[in-house]
Amino acid sequence: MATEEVKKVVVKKVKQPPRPEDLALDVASQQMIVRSREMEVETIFDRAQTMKQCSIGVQGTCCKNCAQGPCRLPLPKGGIEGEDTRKGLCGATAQTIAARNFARMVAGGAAAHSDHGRAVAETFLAAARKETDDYHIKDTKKLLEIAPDYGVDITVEGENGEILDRDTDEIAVEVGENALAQWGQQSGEVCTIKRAPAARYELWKKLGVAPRGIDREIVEIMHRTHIGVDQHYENLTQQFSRAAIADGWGGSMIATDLQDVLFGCPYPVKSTANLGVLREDHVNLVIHGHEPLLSEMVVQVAELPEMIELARQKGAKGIQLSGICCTANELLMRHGIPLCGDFLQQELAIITGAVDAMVVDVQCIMENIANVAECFHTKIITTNPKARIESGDTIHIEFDEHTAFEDAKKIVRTAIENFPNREKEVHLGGTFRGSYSTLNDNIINGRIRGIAGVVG
Amino acid sequence: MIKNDVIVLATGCTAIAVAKAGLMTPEAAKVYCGPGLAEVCETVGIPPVLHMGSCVDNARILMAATEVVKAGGLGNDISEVPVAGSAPEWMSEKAISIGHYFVTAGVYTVFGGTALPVTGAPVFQNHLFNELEGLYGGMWDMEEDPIKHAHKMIAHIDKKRKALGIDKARERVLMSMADRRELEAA
Repeated sequence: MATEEVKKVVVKKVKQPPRPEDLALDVASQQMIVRSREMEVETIFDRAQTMKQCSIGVQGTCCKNCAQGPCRLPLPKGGIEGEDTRKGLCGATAQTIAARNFARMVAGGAAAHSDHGRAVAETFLAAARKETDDYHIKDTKKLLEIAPDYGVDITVEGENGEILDRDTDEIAVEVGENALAQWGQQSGEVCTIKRAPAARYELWKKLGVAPRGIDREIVEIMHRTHIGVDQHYENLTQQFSRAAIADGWGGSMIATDLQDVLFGCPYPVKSTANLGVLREDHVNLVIHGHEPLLSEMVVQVAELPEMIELARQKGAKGIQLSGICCTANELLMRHGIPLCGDFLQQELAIITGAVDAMVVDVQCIMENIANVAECFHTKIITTNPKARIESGDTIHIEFDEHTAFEDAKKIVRTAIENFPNREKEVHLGGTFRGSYSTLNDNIINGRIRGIAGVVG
Repeated sequence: MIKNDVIVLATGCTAIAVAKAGLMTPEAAKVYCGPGLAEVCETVGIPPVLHMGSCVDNARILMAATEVVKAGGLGNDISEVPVAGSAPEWMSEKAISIGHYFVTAGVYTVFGGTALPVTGAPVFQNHLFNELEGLYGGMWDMEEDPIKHAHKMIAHIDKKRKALGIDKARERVLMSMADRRELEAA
């Protein structure tokens, strides 16, 4: 994309810049915020000081679903006494508008996760059909475990009525086909929702929220939230419930299932976390985004003797891979590859000056990494046709499941050929799993009070 | 949460943040946990915060909750299990979808950091924060103060413990499968 106007982005003058320790609890982040200010490189921590949030949007009551508006329905400061008479031009109430906006957020989220799942399902099917040499069915144990949930038999009846194991390749193809069919299915229900406890599954059916097909529920939200369609917040809530279930128990769950079969189930690993994982004497290739389809292939390529040799020729001792955002989690749990940082650290990682290339795919990639990278030698490589960046000067190396290995080679080579760097300290982290009866026993006897799922 | 003996399953950027804070090492149990959770972590050799994967892997938390139901003794549905959900610094639309599939799975779910964009519509907000409990056994909540946020979750967990009749059982009882069935029948 445009290369001419390569300039440093100057921090806007803020009256009193907040102390770094008030912006981030994490010490490595604080240090990088200080460094970014010294170098006059703008980050999200600066922009957050100057951006004034939209006070109506934050309440969920701005409607821009048609051109009669945008209609703004803020709640009066003192609240509303008596009847709420706020209405948009079409008559939509604050409840209708907020419910429609909320529904569209669910649609956006469910679409992101589920489209990720679709990409995994497509690659899985290509691997199962042996249309690609680059991906293989790795965890057949998990394949046999999940197959029945996709309506796929794992045994066949022999000529004399004996029960025989079915061919794994055949099972894989059928699982892939049935998984992919969940997106376009028009009626019935997404097959994996039956994994829920029986009482929950029956409740969903009773409430009319058992999803029919993953794409269908998302599309129906977009239809219902168009001007003049669904104008009852309870009815809208029912539909975005159906879409959310299609995500959690459908698109997302299928993504996890098939990723585990393709790349192996995660296991307890010990690793390290934070910006300090970047190494001064190694080529630092940071993988940022979400889909392990890309990162798994980069891992394989970075271990090739020819790549390590190339890194040595360029004066590095080796290649250090690390991850940002959920790709980091995928790399950590399957390979013990260190976590470089979370969402808010993507610009800060580049500010270390030690990142030779940051390769990105989809979701949670800040457009501004491209601007920050312009202040350093760091190359930003986009890989997904769905996700390009206009800012800065990025390279696009398209990643295709049929040519994945060769594509990954190009990416790793680009990083190696762009080597010189610096470094910082290391913190420890890790990941472990356990069995459930111990958990239940200890909840019952009270040593463990309960469980919290903490996400985001 | 872990100080109050609540085991934490984390995903996505939250998992990275807690890993950086050192809470995903088994050694963290002794330093930060209440005595009950510390003892369990030490015995089993696990950290008090378990990494469950990326944000697409929240399905693993749903399956963990389902396995807890199947293992017995903690009710017949996820809504009966002493469990709560949280996105302490939610940001994306994905988080909203995740939050809602937790709620519709029967989990009380608290969002923090920034308010949910529903405050301008009090009737709709009440539907999400209160009425959904009557339908799904789970509902939304929000709390920006992290300590209050955690205590809301703990209060919900305690409410579920009480409903299961295990709120007083703080002594060490070795549970057999038969004991669990008995509890379930009660």
